[in-house]
Amino acid sequence: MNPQADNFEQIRKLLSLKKYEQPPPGYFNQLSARIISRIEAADMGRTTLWDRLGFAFGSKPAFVCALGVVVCGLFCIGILSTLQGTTVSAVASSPELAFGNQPMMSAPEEAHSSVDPVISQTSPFSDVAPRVDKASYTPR
Amino acid sequence: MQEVVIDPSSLSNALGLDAPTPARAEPVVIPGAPVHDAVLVRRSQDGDIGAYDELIRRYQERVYATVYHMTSNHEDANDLTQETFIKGFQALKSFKGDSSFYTWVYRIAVNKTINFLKQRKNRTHISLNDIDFNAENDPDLVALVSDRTPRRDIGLSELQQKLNKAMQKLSEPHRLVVTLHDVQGLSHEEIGNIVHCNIGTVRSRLFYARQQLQAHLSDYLK
Repeated sequence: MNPQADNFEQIRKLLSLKKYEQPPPGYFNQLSARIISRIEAADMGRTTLWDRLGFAFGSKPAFVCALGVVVCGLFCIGILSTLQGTTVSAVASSPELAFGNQPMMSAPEEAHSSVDPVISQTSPFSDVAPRVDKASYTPR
Repeated sequence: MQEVVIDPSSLSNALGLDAPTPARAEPVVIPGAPVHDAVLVRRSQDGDIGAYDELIRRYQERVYATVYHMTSNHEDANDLTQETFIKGFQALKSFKGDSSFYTWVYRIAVNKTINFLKQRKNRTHISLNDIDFNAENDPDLVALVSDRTPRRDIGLSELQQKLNKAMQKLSEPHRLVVTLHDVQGLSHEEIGNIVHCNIGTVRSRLFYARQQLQAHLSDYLK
């Protein structure tokens, strides 16, 4: 027989001693229960206050709900802005709407409408005489 | 209650049926026999904690033994075994069934143990379990201790200490292969699947590890 193989056979026999190394009696009876309780504890740790109160819901429905709220909001904003635009244009076309039955102040002759810019042909500074002050310097 | 699980393809073959079997047939569960691992895994994936408890009970001793023989420390083996099964439950959704559950959970245990040993480095603290009284009746061990060992007065406990110290001198990959093959009795192929290497590598590591052990324990083997 090959002496090396024979020695390996002895090593293998010696290693069989390790099969007899056993944990304390009853160890394996409790091990799975300990593992399961740790798994359950970890699961409980992951649950939030909302989960415990029963308000937990999936992320997808929440996303759909949020999207619906955003779409509704945009729709309302659109309607409001459309209504405002209608009012502005109505006011622009009929100034009476803006001031009710009150008599309007007469517009200047130059003004063609309330929205047209009033362009004066004369300069507002034409009556003001230019004033030039000369600096005086008296050397001592 | 225990259930028997029969592969539908083998059942139809046995009955002489020519009906084509689906690519991935559901196992047939028969009340009164052990449930197949695949069934328990599927139930566990659906959140059945009782099914996972059954899987733990099936493999806890083998996983513990592997970790224990790698660390030579009961407390470390206890912690790592628990962490292995907890990690297994958390990662169970990703288990596709490409390998057996046993191989898969073994991989987790081996990776955890090797990472642990790398962190522990030289801080080896041996805390051995007691030897079962049946060892005294093992003919191989009796012969090894009383007949062929030069130190005939050595007891099994002392031999256990020497053996574990010699094991701790091996590198992790070599210790792992010796543990899985010579202590746990796994085949080369199974070890290759667990440690992700080919059979040739497993054989060469085993040869080298045995040589090293032989050198360390030469006084007790002549």
